Amino acid sequence: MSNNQRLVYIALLASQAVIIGLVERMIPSPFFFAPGAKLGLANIITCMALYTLPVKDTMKVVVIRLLLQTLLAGTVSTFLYSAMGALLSFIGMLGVKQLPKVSMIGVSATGAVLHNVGQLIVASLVANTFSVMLYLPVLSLIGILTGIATGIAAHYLLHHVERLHYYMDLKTLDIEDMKEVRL
Amino acid sequence: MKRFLELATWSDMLLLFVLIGISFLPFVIFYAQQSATGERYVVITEDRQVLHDIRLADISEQRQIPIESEDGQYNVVEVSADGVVMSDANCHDQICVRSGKILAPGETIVCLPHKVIIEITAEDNADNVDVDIISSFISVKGLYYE
Repeated sequence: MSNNQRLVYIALLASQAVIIGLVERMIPSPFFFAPGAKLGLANIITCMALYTLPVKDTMKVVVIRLLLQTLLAGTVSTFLYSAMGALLSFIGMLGVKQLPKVSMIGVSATGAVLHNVGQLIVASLVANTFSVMLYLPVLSLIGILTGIATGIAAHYLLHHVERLHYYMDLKTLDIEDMKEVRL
Repeated sequence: MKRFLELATWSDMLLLFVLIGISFLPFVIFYAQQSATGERYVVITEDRQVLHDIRLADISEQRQIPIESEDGQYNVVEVSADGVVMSDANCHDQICVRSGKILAPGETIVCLPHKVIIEITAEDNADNVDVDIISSFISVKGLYYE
């Protein structure tokens, strides 16, 4: 992948994630009994970036998405929540992806749960009480379900959009090239 | 549906279970902490009337609390720092005396014939904890709803 191609691809993914996030905010939350729970559709994009881009570039996608979403529809405190959530879920997804035989469903569910963990950590720091963390089971059970759904969606996207196929192949090629160079 | 399920591998399933486990971790930590540090009370009731409500931390030496009613029924509760025991009673079944020593929150000694109940309770912040979590979360999150 040439440098320009990569830049455009990163920008496209980031902007898609921002738009999906904004559209998702307009959908009334189906989880009326659990304030704070949401679908997390933008996780699809993070998954795809994780599977088609090197780690460094995936991080760029995540950071750009975070900053743009805060600028467009957020405040400093939502930035804190989302930043902690995004950081934790990114690290978790990266780690889980290395495990053998884990499909995108597992990766995206991990991302969803760790996003909630990160948000609640910030919330309990802000509210200065650990008891906020007790809300985790509610959020993360919903998160696991939506994570499975977004994982399936990401899986189908990745395997049915030809262009993404091409990028995925490129990534594996890049890795093999790098191994050869090292040898 | 079957097609979706085929996507998930066994390691996915395992991972999901681990994630569910992780999400209940705060509960484990919270309740372990609370039972270790929470204030405990000895509550003695007779016929639903609270006779004594003693903080367990205030008890320094062994002490006997007699509970007597007009018709000659009596129970003797022995309270000490390391537990509460019904030391004597003139009820006919003596179940209360044989129940032994109680100390942990939630444990009870019941003397059914005399309607005497001894109960160890923890500080009752556990009751409204659910409301607290959600309301504190809404107050934090609701102002700046993401």
